[in-house]
Amino acid sequence: MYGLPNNSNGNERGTALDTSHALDQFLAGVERRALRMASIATSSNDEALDIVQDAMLKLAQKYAHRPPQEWGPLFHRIMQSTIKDWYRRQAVRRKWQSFLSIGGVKQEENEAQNLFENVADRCMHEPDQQMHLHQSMQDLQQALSGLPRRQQQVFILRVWEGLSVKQAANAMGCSEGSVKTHYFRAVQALQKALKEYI
Amino acid sequence: MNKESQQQRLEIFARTALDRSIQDLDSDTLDRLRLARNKAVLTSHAISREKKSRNNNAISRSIGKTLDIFTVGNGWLPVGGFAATATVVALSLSLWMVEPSLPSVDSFEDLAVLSANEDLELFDELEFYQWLEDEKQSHS
Repeated sequence: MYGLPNNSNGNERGTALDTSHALDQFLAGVERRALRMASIATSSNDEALDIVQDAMLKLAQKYAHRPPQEWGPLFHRIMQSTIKDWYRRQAVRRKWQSFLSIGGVKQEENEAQNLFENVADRCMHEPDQQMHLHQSMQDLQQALSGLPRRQQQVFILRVWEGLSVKQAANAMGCSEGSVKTHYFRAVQALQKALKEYI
Repeated sequence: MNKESQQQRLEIFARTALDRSIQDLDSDTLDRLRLARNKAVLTSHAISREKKSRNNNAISRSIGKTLDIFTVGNGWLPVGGFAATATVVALSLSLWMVEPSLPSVDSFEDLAVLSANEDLELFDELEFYQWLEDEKQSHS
């Protein structure tokens, strides 16, 4: 799955280098999607980068010694638990903010929106197409961000990451039935919100 | 339009939009991702080295403990002494019977590394940092 460099010497030194190289390749392959997933969950580019960095470090610290084919499911699981932790911290923070009446959240909420807008600006060629993609990305971002966390993450894991019901359940630490329910609800909500595109 | 095809169209739309959204991230974001990745790889490398050195220490300790079994106070137990002597004789015989096979030296570069007085672990590190540098250059 992930190309391991040839270890012609067969010694420990070579193995350590192979692992580092394989881990680097693996992380390079998943980092952008992980960032997007986190930015949809947090609506903040900075928070998303922090989540991805934490997830990478956890994988490196705890599971780098495991076979590379296990890294994918493990990384998904770590991402999900890191996002969940972030939500918990935000809930506490919101309570304190409402208690102390401190503003400043709006600015962070706008960052992810800007990220999508910047991407749309760069990757289109025709003005009409650009406008269309820009709008569709914004609407998708808005619709996904509006979903409850579990529905949002199930939808992304199933549709974008291509995980099966069982794999998604494993990544999210919930039952397969729960994944099916969340997915069904997410599809219902998104179909309603994005009906002009489908 | 039936519900199934509507769901499929939604899935295709979402997948396409999300795929496009990661194609062209800004350089600052890509740099931060690369830094995070390098940090993770370095951490994994450091942990792997630490484990290796811990294992080596554990082996040394277990050999030490094994030798302790054969001694009581200042004198060797007869049984322990016999076992130790037998082990040494068996090892010597096996080494004498087997043809000597020295590790092959592939190049003058390896010879230079092997003959140097530096700790081999230093070369291990150098190799790793060289690889890391190559990775950085290939990305830039």
